[in-house]
Amino acid sequence: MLKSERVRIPRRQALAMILPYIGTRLKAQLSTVAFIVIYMVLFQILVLGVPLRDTLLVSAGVGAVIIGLAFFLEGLLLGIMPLGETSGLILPQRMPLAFILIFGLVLGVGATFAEPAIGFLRQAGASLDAWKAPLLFALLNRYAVMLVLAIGAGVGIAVLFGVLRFIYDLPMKPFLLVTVPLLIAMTLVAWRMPGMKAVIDLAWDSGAVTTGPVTVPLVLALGVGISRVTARSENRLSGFGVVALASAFPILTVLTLGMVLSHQAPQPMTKDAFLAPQNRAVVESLFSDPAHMNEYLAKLAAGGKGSAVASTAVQAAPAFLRDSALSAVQAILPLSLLLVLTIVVILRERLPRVDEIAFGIGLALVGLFLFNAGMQLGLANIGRQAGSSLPASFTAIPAHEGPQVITNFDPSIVQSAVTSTGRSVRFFYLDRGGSIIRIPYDPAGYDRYNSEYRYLPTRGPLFGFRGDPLGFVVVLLFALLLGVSATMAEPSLSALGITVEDLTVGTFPRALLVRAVAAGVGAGMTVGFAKILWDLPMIWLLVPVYVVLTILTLFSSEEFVAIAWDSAGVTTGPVTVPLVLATGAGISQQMGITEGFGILAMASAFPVLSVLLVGFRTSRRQARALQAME
Amino acid sequence: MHEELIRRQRLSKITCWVYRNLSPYVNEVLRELALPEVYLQSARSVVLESKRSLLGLRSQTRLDENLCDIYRFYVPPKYELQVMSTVATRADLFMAGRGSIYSEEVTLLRRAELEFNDSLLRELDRAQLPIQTGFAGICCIVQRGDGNLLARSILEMGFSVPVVTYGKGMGIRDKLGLLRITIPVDKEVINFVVNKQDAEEVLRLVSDKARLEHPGRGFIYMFPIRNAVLNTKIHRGAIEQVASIEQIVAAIDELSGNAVWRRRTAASRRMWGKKRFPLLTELANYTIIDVEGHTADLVRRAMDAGAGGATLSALRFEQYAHEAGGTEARSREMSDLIIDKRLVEHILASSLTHGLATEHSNASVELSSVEMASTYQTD
Repeated sequence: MLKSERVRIPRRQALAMILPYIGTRLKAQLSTVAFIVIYMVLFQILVLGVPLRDTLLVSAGVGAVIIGLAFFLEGLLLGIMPLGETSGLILPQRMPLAFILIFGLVLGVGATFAEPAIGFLRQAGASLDAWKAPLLFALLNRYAVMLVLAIGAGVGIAVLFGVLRFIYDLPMKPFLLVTVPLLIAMTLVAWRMPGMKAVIDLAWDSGAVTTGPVTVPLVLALGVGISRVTARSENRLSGFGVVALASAFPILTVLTLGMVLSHQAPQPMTKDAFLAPQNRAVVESLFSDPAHMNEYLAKLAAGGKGSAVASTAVQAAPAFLRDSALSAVQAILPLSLLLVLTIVVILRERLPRVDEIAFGIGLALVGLFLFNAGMQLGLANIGRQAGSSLPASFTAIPAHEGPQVITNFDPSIVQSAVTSTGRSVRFFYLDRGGSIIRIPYDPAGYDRYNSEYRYLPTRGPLFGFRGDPLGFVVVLLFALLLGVSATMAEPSLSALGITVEDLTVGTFPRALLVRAVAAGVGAGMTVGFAKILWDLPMIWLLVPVYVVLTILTLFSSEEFVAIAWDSAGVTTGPVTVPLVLATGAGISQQMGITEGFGILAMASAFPVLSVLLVGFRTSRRQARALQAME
Repeated sequence: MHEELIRRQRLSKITCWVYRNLSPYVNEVLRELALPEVYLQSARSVVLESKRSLLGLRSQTRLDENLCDIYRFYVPPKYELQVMSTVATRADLFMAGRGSIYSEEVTLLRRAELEFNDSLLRELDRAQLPIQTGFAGICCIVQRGDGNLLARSILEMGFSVPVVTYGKGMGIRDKLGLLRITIPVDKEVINFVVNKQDAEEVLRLVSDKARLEHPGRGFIYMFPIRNAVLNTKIHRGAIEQVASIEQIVAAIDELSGNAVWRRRTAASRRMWGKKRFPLLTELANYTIIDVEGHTADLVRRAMDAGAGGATLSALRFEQYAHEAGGTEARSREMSDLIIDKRLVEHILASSLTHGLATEHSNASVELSSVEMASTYQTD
């Protein structure tokens, strides 16, 4: 590093420079996070009428999320993205094609292992009822390693293809027009295979999940760097598209893995058959080892639902802080080291602005740690609370205060009512805090010996009668706004937005992209929640949406196609995924639906649509700008 | 001492910006002329657009931004007008609202002189086309985000359509250690062309508007332009007459061969007004162009040798002289340093000592004159 004379800044003046620097960045994150927090808390208190619990913990968590996001995003911009861009600029000038391709493959596979969201998928898998979807269960348990390898291979091949595309300056459209129909076709084939229905959801979700907060900015910067060196075509917005491929290819690999394994997994069966001793050998084939199976069966016997989704709940403090720190280190260090080593050791180039990059990586580490911890304490906690009360809007759910006891209960006050079919229903009136409420009477709750009546207070349906469409509308509205507000806070979307704004010299502003994507995610979440509420088959949603996307892609300009499809991978990041899983799990638990897969797949399909539409508008405006003069 | 390493070549530098949809036309001409070095930069043009509000009650003026491409290339001075009129005809720049083209006189310093295909250039017609003289270019560098504010006031003053590009600043910031990250590095560079007679006044006005007399706000300078065809369509909206005002302006410009008749500032006005801040004069633009990532070191050396700072912009390199091999790097970086004329040789010596003209180097330095500039000045 060249040593020029250094200007010394007095401490007071340095402070006067640092404070506004920190201030503006915190303020930016404050406004994005405030949006989702205020929204969820208000929804819970005003619409669902449930007070917020763990207020102190939640506030601390939200504070950590804000600081964490600010640090992390600054770390991305200072450290990780310059690192990616530098590698992108140097690699094609110094290395043969084969080396660059291997580098891409290694980067892709490495990125998957660094990805925390993969863990979420496996967590969700643990709560499955094994007998309903044995193949899915086996994939997430016995074949979990193979599943991660399949996803890794998918991402690796995607980065490899992406790099190849940049180096030969190939257009994005043909890639998509081959990949997407292939995806649809494979999904349709899988639909007709026994046991594969459930795997379809998993495959599409893993596509959405693989591209996380570190991978996306890194791969984006790398792509922009490479195509700056190699681009020859008229398209000046090259450098995008890897993220899109990295979301599509894992779907292919996971579906393939499922098809290969489908002959080894047993058919769906009843719970009794699952527990029957003569089927023990079959059941055993779903688990990696007998100990794991015994654990699962023991839990089942205890009445639990496998290892509950509630494992996302707050753990003991030290362990939970350690986990947050570990996942931050795991997400950032291996990938950064891979790039630094490639540049310094293999390419023998000097890193420009070493101090800035090192500081940036440090910031990103601290930021991601704070963010992870805060997410668990704060946002996901709110999400879980809102999610578990949400079904109250259309059905009766157990109230949050738990079982209640009425002492000195006199059964003679119980009255009868008649249903429209003439069946008699028993109930009594209860005066609770001045308001008279009607409680259904269940003889089993009456303890004659102590003259006590035990009952579980319920809430809801808050909107109309049970199953009233209005109640569902409220839930869908909640999903829409949840999608919009969570997306606004996604750091990888910011990274994509900044890159796009930079390359278009401000004519496609970051805010426009963020808004378009947020609207798309909101729409996608609504559809995803609808899938859960009405238990719609995934294929009914996926196929039409992707057919429409394929047609739109065909007619879009090359410039926006790659950006639009990249938005798909970018949206489902560290803010949205835990929130969706937390609220989705809340609803699933209340409604007795076993798996909440599919929301993420929808949440990443619709942004493609919205960004393509914005692209259409922009192209039309550009054309009109010239026509107006003629 | 290194003088033998470097060749000096006097050339005309032609700068042409067009809306991106028109880019292929320009590209085609330059390819046909087999020009040896063409640099492309993404930019946005900003024009005013009247929009009626929803109820049609009041109209408001907003900025309409569009992507465009800036082409910069060199030609021998004797072919300047031919090349300009060929490009302008092909991209139809004589019609207002498609783009601008202008030329400057520069000295290019390189290891080897640029070679042009004379036979191709000689054949070009020197058509009788209304290329005009009497302009000056103004370039203003401000913090990222301030560009549209200035663009708007430039448009409202009614000179020509400004183009804005992105760049990164180097200066005192790079001597601060890690504390530098607190100072934003991203800049916006606004380029526009005015009448020579108005140039000083406009420079002062813009400088005032951008509050450049305060430290760290930015920099503005004016450079001479030889010939130009300008985009004067500063306003977009419905045309209610048989000819738009831009067409009328263009017609009178064409008749008079220059735009002196459009000047805004009488010579007498320069005598009064508020206290006038002193301008910097006797300057030169020392532009280093090299493979991306390679100019920062040279800029640091130049700063050690007395330069104040630089603006770095990313360019894309095209070369049409012979079909380029597929592997040549396309990314280039341009560092503009506005320095005192007397420092040129000193800084050049420093650049040469630090590898400007080493073997295999594609780097070049472009020297052009800067008539006046304004920025924060310490007493």
